[in-house]
Amino acid sequence: MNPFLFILYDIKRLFGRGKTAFIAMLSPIPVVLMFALFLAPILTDGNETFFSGAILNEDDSESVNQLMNIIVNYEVGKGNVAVYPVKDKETGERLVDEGKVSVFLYIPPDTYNDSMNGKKAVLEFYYSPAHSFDALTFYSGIKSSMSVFGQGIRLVNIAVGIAEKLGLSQEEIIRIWDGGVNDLQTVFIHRGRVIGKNGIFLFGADYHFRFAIALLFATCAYLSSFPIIYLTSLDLTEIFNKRSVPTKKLFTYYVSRIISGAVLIMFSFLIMFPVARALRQIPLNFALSVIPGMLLTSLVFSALAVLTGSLFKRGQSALWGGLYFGTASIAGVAFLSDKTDLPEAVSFLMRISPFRASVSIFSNAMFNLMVERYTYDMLILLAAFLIFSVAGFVMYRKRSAV
Amino acid sequence: MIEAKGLVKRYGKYTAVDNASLTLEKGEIVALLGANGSGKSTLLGMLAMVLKPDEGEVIVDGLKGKPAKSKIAYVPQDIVLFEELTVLENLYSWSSLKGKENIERAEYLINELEMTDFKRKRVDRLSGGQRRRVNLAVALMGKYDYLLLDEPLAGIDAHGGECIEHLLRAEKEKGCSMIVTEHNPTVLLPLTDRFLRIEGGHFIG
Repeated sequence: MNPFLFILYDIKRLFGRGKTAFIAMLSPIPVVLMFALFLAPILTDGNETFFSGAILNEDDSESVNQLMNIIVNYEVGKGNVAVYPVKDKETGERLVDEGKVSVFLYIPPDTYNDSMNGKKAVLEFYYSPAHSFDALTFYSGIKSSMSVFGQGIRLVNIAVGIAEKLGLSQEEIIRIWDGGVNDLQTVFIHRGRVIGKNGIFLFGADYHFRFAIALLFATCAYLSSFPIIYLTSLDLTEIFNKRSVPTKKLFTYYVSRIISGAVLIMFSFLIMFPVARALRQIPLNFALSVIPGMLLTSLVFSALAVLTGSLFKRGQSALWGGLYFGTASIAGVAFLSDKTDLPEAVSFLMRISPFRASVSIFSNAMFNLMVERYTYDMLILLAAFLIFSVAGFVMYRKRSAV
Repeated sequence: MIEAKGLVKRYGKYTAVDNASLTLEKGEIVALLGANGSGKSTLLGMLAMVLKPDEGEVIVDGLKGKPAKSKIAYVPQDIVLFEELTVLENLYSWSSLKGKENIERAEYLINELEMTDFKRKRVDRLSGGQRRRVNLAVALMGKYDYLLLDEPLAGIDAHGGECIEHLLRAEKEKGCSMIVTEHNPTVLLPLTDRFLRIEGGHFIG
């Protein structure tokens, strides 16, 4: 029989089984709900490609001005934001109320000095409920940038203080200050490097909502692999070890299962991809770069599902195993990704986690596309696919034999 | 020839088959009789090499292990089919999985077991008797010299029984050896060369 027919029959089995179809149908529901929750404000907002904001900066310190310029210029340059300076708070609030801008940011006087002196610096932030999603984006970006940039500036200040104690000339001290600030600006994108720490997920490189959407993408993909886990376990326990199948044919069937499983997972992606595309009218080159990531993620999760199904004798146990493993992986990525002080072993596991790589690809490719990071994540997924496939077939063969 | 020597199978403290030995000659049909739980299916499973014996061995035409297993077609008591596929798709899939796709053989079995009316129906939508016939047909798709059938007539009506009897007779005429377990051997009586009765995991006659 043509191997293509094997795949076709297996797809029919995956989609045609009552229980598995039920699970497959059930799995995207939480994701769709979450998407709807996130997307509703945007979809009802005329699907703008960027949002506009107003800023009132009453702190006349050079550092805050520089920081605001960096953040604003960076986002304006990417076409994400249009920012209007306003004269007073009333104007800013009125613009928000009238719907002319999505958010209004107020920076009070002495924000910089307060933060440098260890006091709590408070920024005021206004938005209308209709723009809550945009507000979240803006807020996340500003918060993470200010936090890291502020720490960087403190380091530069310390360096300047040391230079003064050492008796360096005023000219030399100004050079150190300018150099430090320039370095901060240069490495703005990789803010983690400023404080000498890089989180597992490139700390600060993704807005939280991008990360959350990418996490939902990967979670949905993983959940939709449950029918593969269940059916594989059932096949091995109830079919293949009761009917003798030669190893060569078993391998053909195994490959068919991984491919048909990947097709099933791709279906869940295909449901969500247009939604994500509509999210911000992602540029075509970014959107296209997600597709190889989706394909590879589908293959990895399918191979992982077949491996999980092969490890457990009972279908229900396999499902529980898959659920626990998936929950641990998802929780790991969700809660540990931006941590910079993890034990080395945990940090290493997170770096090589295919789940993290998958989330990173979506977060990166859908919105920004850093080629170096994209390539690294794709290589992690490829390696994971090879490992899961080989380990899976060893178990598959072992379980199908007596 | 199938030779089973000192087969023992235990499930915890319970011994399902205790030191069973038997020989099946070429072209011979043996009926294995016994009550529920007597050890028939366990013994047949070990002979078919889908159950690993705790002690003893099975030799088929002087071969052991996988080469020996490839000479045996086994019809399990459970329905072991791709439930989501049609009868035809099952037959094509299993003929390919066991060797080479054999459409002629599939058509022959469909005719012999009178499955034409439901050959395009999904297996999980068939009646118990129909599924039993497909279960048998799937086992007969590959190449084999020995046929081990575990209660092939369970849930089959009189007409279905006749179809199966007819098919097995044709297999016997081709020189195929068989071991059949049955509660009620009446239908297969004319085919059977020898009876073995098992009770509590022991042969008693």
